[in-house]
Amino acid sequence: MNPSPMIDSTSLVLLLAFSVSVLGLFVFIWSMSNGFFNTKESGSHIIFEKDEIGLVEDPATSQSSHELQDAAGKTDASLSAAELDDRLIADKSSAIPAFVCLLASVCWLIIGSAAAIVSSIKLHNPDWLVDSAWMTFGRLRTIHLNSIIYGWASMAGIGVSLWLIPRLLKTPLVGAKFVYWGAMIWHVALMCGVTAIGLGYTDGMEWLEMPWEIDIFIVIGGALMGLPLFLTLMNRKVDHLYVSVWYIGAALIWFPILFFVANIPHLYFGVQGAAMNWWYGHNALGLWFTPIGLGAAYYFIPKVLGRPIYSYNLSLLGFWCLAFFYSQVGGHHLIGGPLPTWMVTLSIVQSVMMIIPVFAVAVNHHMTVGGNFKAVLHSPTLRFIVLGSMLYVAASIQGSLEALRSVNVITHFTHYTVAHAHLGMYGFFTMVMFGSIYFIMPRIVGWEWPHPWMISAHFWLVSVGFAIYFIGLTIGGWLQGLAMLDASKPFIDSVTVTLPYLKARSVGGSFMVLGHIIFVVHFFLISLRYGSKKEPALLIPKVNIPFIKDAKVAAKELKRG
Amino acid sequence: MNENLNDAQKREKIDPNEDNKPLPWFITMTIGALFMWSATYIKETVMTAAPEAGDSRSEQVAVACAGGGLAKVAIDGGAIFQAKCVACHQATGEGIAGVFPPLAGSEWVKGKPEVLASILLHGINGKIHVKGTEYNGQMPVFKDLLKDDEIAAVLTHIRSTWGNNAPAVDEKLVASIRESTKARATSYDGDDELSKLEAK
Repeated sequence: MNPSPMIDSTSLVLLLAFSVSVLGLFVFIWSMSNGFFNTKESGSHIIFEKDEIGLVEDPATSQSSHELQDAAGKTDASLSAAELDDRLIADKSSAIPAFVCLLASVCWLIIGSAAAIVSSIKLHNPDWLVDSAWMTFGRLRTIHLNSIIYGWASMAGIGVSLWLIPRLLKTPLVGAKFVYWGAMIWHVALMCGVTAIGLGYTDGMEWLEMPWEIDIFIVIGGALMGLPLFLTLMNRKVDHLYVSVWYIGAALIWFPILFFVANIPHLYFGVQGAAMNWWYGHNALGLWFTPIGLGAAYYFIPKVLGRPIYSYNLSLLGFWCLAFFYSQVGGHHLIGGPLPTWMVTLSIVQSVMMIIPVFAVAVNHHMTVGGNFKAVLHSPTLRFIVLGSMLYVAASIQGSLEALRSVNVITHFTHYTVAHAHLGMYGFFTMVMFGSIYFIMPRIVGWEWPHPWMISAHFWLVSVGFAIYFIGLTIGGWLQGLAMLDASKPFIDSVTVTLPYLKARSVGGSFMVLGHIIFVVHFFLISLRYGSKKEPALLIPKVNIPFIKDAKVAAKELKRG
Repeated sequence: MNENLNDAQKREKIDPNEDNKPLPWFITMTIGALFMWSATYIKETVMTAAPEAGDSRSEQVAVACAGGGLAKVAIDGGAIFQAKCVACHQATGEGIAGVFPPLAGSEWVKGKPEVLASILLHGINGKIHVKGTEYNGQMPVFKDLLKDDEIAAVLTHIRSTWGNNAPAVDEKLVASIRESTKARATSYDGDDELSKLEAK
């Protein structure tokens, strides 16, 4: 054997496999974009009328845009009555199932937030509320995680998907009753799961804490809620599947597999258990919440602006690279751990390759919004979702960098990672869900949001609160990491250095919780059709500038016609 | 028609779709750059060590593996002290006045290692004087909880911490004491019995 080979055999095999697979991916994407899979160019314009481009939706109360609004209304009615009927039927079929999920999700948001803020305070006031076991940090933080992941985020995601899919497929939701059963089973199971965690029963792995006996019912409930989406997909009226359908459809296939495989009891031990744990933990984020969040963003950004998504090719690239690179990313949680070097190295490489789909999505969204950024000031939906999309890019790039060994050695086991996780789950996903709910609820209940100031207060409280949270913890976590690496310092120094930042997190967290309370109260108000029938909720009601560059032209054309 | 549509539904646009713009050139460039980086990263990462050695331990572990297995890890006496002893004897080694005797400066700790090992193996149940104060408590039995090398490590730790400066205790010594006191079923009866051992 050559004493100093150019490259060792493990590296060589890994390198070859990686190169071949990346090549395969791009051949696939190239052939799709060239229509080898029967995706004709005309297909991408199948439902888009020329005159629709350039009109706005949400920001429509000002004096000058009233005419625009009337014109827009006429546009829909005169251009395609059949399509309006489709929309009506689709919305009607999904209204109650989606509402059930969204209602449940906002309740869990409050439970999860309460557990979060108490856990946060405990980190700098450790002797607070320690009298009962379920109130201790270890259990309460876990209750926070599980109620947010499986209660708020998953329910909001399923609710938004249930509402989007019939619209996107122009087909009424098939099998709504499965959703009711599914939601019921899921919630009974989740309540049992959270109670079990409070009582100290746990499977002992992060994101998988709920005892596996309870997980069985989560699987059944989830399957029942997902079933109507597949039934609808099979009965669809459109040929072309819009990009949001890919993301949502894929998420609905990926998540049950992930959850089921990861929760099989008595199968994983030791190192395998750790590898499986983070395969699941990271994929739940990347193959469940991320695609649903992106699916929603891909729908609402062009929808509110009345502009097509910039590039079908970029959508393709973004989707397939996510599907391809993400599933091996989880290993970077175990850098320096007992996994084989090649496995961790592959996960680092895939983490960095994730920059491609993120970049593709970012460019696609940016070019779609491009020139119309002022609309963000007015439309609540757009404001939340554009912020969410920006933070998606930030979180993903940060994640790619954190996966590098040189960065990870500092950030691993610190609050920096916690801040990063919240940038993804909160900054991106939760913000997108807020925006989506602001769009969907008026359509479900046939009522406008009663108090625009509450939307504004919600937005600013959660944005400012989260900024304090994220910046504080990021700095604190970094200092903590440096202190832990410094062998001349006692360990306790790495704890005390974080104290001011942990307090900042509690302050930011309180803002966020307050914002959530306002949001949920508002959610109940609109659900009860509180107040008098109003104009659409806008964040800045008096606007006299045409902030969409094409809007005037388009409106004129429509009037002429 | 469409009276059933609520206001929000009436005013909105037809559902969005995609334009067919080509990939921007800088995306293609980014893909190329990332692919090259990844290939280089894989190539530059040393993966010669056995997979069971774990991630990035390549060099030191490879040496250990060549020697017939992973090197024996030194046992951390301080960690054992934290786990088993700190509740009574305290992190400062000062114990609690009148209740739990101190280890810092204790004549028993600094004395004969054989006696100290005996105490840890079989415990104490009776009056004992430490630094001039009488204690009447119970020292637990550790012979079934700790192995010889662990007992040696924690004894070495307490003999060299908090200003104590006695020589390290060897695993073999602990093993020999364990062997010679094998028949013993009860704890030592405080000063009475231990002073005799100390004087031997």
